Amino acid sequence: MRKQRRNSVVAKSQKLDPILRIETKRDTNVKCHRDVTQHHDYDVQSFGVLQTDPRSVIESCQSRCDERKRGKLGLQRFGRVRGSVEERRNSGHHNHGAGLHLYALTFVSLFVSMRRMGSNFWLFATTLFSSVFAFLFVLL
Amino acid sequence: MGVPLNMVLLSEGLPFLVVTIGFEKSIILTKAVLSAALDTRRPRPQDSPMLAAQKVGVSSTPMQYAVQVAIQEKGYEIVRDYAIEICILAAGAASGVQGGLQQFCFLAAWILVSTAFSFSTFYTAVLNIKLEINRIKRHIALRQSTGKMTESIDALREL
Repeated sequence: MRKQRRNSVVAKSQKLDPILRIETKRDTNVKCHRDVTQHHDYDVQSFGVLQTDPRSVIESCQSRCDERKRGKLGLQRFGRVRGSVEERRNSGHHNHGAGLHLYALTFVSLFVSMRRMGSNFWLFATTLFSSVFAFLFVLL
Repeated sequence: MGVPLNMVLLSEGLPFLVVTIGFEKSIILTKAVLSAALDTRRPRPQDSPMLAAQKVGVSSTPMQYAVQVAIQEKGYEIVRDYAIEICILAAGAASGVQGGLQQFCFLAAWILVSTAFSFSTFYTAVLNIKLEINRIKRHIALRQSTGKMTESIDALREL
């Protein structure tokens, strides 16, 4: 009885599935719409045009949709994934990007200023060596 | 020293650590040493810092003079900057703010102390070697150019 109900739910979800819209280009390129997959997961969200077998992509998308529509567990998973995506977008990602930019700019400015003072490479390298030695000395 | 070190915190905080510590002290000292080395090459007026260093009565080679003059000029500023940064980071480590700031400030303060030590020993020695290499290169270039000049003068005399 429960199995029949589950099968009917799965069949209904496959039939009425408004989420799954996949276009096939030629034979191998599969384009997946961004609005289709943005609520699912990172790997599905990130692909634009894939060079893989279209059947496997369709099957994976179907399985994800079925899992989502299967019940409370799927909804919980959907909420958790979507929450984690928004949290990652809003909170720390941009700040860490700015930190990485400053990190790179520090080394670039050191190299440029040492080069302006007449040393091509070695003063820059020894400055880095001394700092790395100090860092390791504190850590170890 | 009783402070737990989280590797995730370390890997995420490494860019901020580098930006906090920075390399501006070594740039300031290098600039001062190189400009002092240029000054020692030029003919000097009576009240130059080189003569002041000679009056104090220390070292003999021009490279040591250059380093000494540079440290006399910029040493106070560098030590003051180090002291201020270490005090600020120590205050951050003692503030008790949870979430990684305490560990970050503690690590950054100790790295600054260690960097100051290696800066005053290792980096100054490397800078001295670099100045000696520059002097040797200049000397070799000067000798080669004078040798070429004498050869060309001999060739002109033969003509």
